[in-house]
Amino acid sequence: MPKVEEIICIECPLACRVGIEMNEAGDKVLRVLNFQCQQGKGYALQECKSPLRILTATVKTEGSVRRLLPVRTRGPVPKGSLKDCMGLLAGIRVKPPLTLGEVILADILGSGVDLVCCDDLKG
Amino acid sequence: METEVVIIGGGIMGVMLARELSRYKVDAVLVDRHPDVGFGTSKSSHGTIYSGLTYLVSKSLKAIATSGGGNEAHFEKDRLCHDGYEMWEGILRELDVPYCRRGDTVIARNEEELSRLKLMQRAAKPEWNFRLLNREELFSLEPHVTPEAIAGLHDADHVLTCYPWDIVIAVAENARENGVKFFLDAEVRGFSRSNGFTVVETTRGPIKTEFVINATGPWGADVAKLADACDFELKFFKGHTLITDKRAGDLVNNSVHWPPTPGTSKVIQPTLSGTLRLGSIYRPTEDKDDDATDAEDIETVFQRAHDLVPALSRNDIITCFTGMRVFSARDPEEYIMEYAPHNKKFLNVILRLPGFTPAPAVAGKVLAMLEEAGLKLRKKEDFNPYRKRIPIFRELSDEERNRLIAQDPKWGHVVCRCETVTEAEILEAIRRGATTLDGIKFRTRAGMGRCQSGFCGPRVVEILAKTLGIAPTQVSKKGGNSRIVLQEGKELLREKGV
Amino acid sequence: MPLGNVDLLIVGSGPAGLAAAAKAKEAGVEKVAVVERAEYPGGLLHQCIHNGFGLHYFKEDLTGPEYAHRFIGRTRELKTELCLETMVLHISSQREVTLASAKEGIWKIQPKAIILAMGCRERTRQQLLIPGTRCAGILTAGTAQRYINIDGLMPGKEVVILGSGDIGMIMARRLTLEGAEVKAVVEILPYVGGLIRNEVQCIHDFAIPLLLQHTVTKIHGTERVEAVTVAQVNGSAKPVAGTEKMVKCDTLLLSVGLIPENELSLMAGIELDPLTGGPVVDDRMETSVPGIFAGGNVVHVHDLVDNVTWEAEAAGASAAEYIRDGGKGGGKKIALKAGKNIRYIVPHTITADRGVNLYMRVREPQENVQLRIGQIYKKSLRAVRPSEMLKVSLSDREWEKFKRGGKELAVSCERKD
Repeated sequence: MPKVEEIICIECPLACRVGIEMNEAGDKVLRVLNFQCQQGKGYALQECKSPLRILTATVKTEGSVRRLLPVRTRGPVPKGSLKDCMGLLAGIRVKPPLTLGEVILADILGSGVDLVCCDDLKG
Repeated sequence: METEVVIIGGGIMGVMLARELSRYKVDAVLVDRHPDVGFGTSKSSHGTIYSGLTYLVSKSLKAIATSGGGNEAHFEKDRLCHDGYEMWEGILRELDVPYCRRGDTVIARNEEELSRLKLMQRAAKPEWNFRLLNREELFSLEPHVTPEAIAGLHDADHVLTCYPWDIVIAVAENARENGVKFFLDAEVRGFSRSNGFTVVETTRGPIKTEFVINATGPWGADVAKLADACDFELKFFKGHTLITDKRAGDLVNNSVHWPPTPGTSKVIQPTLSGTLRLGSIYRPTEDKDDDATDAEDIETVFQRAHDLVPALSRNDIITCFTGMRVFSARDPEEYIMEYAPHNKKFLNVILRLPGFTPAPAVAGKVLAMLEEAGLKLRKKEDFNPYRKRIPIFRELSDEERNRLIAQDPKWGHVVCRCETVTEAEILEAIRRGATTLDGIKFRTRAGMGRCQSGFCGPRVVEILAKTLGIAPTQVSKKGGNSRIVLQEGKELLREKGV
Repeated sequence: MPLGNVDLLIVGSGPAGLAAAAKAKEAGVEKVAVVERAEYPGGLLHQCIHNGFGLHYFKEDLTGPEYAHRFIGRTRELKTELCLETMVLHISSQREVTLASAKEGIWKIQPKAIILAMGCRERTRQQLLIPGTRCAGILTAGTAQRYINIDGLMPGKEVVILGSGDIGMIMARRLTLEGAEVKAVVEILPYVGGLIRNEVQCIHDFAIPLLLQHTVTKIHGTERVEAVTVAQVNGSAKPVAGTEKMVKCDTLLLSVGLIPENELSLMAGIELDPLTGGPVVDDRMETSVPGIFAGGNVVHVHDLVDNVTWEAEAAGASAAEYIRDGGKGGGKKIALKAGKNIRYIVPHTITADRGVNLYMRVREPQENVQLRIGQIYKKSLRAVRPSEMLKVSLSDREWEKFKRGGKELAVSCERKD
């Protein structure tokens, strides 16, 4: 029996409930249902296969009047790894000077994605 | 700690007693379980000091006071209120407390209500000069009252409009300046005896004293029972008050009342800052610590105010709060000012409303009672009755502001943008005893404006933490468990072992 | 040295103020100054560390600080003066501005033109008159965001959020990521108040209970929040008796609406629109007081910072024109009227002879609709929601058609069938 996973598309206000029909083994997409555009289809397929999310957070600083520095993953990382990423970030301290875009942690948790600064950090 | 007099309770009565005692060479300590004065019921008072028509209306809260007429206790209460009222303007001036004088108008919608107005007019002292107004006169005085009104009774004077916390804080500052010690964050847990003296056991340690005055308002019976000094019972009534936006402030010129009926005070009062105070229903309650607002009472208070001034809309309301009113069970009209049953050195002073108005006169009577009980009262030569308030940046001219900024640049750093309160005022509030967000709020108005400390809150937390040398997580709204933020960031993650 | 008489004074260095400043400079205004009461520029972008900014303006997915950084850099390059920790105390209808700072004291200037960019404040628990106690632990989502993202402090551990607007949902995620437990997001409407993207990525992602058609009816706790009562609401948004449940928590976060901050506008005698909460403006973003312009959330609450930027740029360009030419009088004034399912339109009137951006919000969600402006403009839309502002950009050519019409233009949104 094929299983249908429902994904709410976030690409536009219509928020189509796209259906991804998978085979018994769950490793092949049979059909994609109820989408209104190609972006929606693409988003739903990715979300079903391996949901990815951009992580944005803060890290503590040392040697700066500013207490926290906002950081982000440059691209999306696996949704399931967000919790562990946050745990990792809790132990980090960054020191000035830093420029927006500079890498804080390369290839965070083996995702292939860098964690970078979202702002300059002055002393 | 050892002293001669312990005053328990830092509300209006406690601080007034402290100030009066500080005129004499008497050692006194004021004890309160909160981190600041006035944090009990005094802060929810309407903050008006009154005589005249407003006083007559307050006497008529008759379901609370079941009998009419009067007895010695009632006449004494009238006298204390009258005498207290006469003393207040001088005190407000000495203590630099902002106030203004206003009047009061009671409206009648029909013949029955009109006859009640006439009764009040007959009960008035001639020097109060009430005027019975016809419809035209009423509307020229108060154009926005309900068109149903047919007449009004008007007292052009006898209402001193203040903020209750301004008063309590000012009186306390002056008492402290004149030598009274303030022992705050100290809850009384019990009493014991030691060589003929009383030991007041508090959560911050014992105080050995000769005399004790219990001025704890609604908690009066509880405290007196700890000392086996209680032969009275208290009844509690929770009252709701609504505050409007300043833009509704023009709707009345003086206090405006419905004719009084038992159990309620249906009034719209202008406040000092141009907002309106809408009050109040007194709902009997068993739980004197229940200060939660209730949807039903909020709605009723609003509806009544709306009936009185139809131009008021729900959108005008910016906040609401409750206040616990206390009455003596044996005689709801009386003030409890008495020695404990077997101990003339323990006094119970519990006032029903009005509590502010008679306070100076009651303090005089209590001092006489203390003297009779053996306390020697020798006047100090160096008692200083004067106290200057924290300069109010928002009310100063630009020249005055610049003079202050030249002395201290922090007068130019605005922290609370809704009420235009500067960092210098906040620091001065801390210097004068504020240790909590509410303490700063009451001394400076920071956090009382439209955004209700949404913007300035984090900044005030930081200033408090830095100035008091404590962690931001220890800063509280009003003491005890009311911390503003619960943890340093990232510690929750560490705790959860992520 | 205190700021002198500049050509253009901009109040607020959030996205609106920065964009207006850059545009005014590019349009040739010589002395442009931005005053900001905080210690840093960027306004609330500074604490909005999440992404989703600039998708339209830059075609990139930026965080708030990254978006702000671009404009702060641009204004610096263009030599705009930025006065931090400076507060505007008063603006008169003659454009006299009273300023206050610790460094310079109190002083007055009179710029040739002013752009108001003060943004908005959050609706409070007190304004909603939610019954219960006044204890610690009750705060708005934006204030919580400040504590977490700037001060590094956690305002609570077990949180209930009232309101599912974007700020509420973003904070639900933020709190959860930082280790707190969000017990519920409570929403009075039958659908979330913010973007679907946020519903998925902030609520569903973390399995946070979403209680639609519910509200908080009482707050419990003597010194700190201990619990809230949550109840279902009926079709008229009134609590249904008997459906009350207690939810144990130590914090109540409110995300129940934003109110444009127009204290200064009132002082200057500027006419406000009660529907938007902001100044009545024409398409040049000029208010009812000549020479005072406005843009961004101070005019009406936006959901996309990109639109804030475009709107503020229009204000900047217009202010530049005003400074150069002393203000255009005359020109036909066309009033925009909100018709079926339209709550409001900004700007309120059109006077210019060129294309214009119109921003509007619908009253109710609808699918398969047609947006009409007068008899001349039609656009089909798949779905519209009150929480997603609509933007209609009319080119010069399209605008030509309108000019020949009457003094009023009705804007409506109706189902195609």
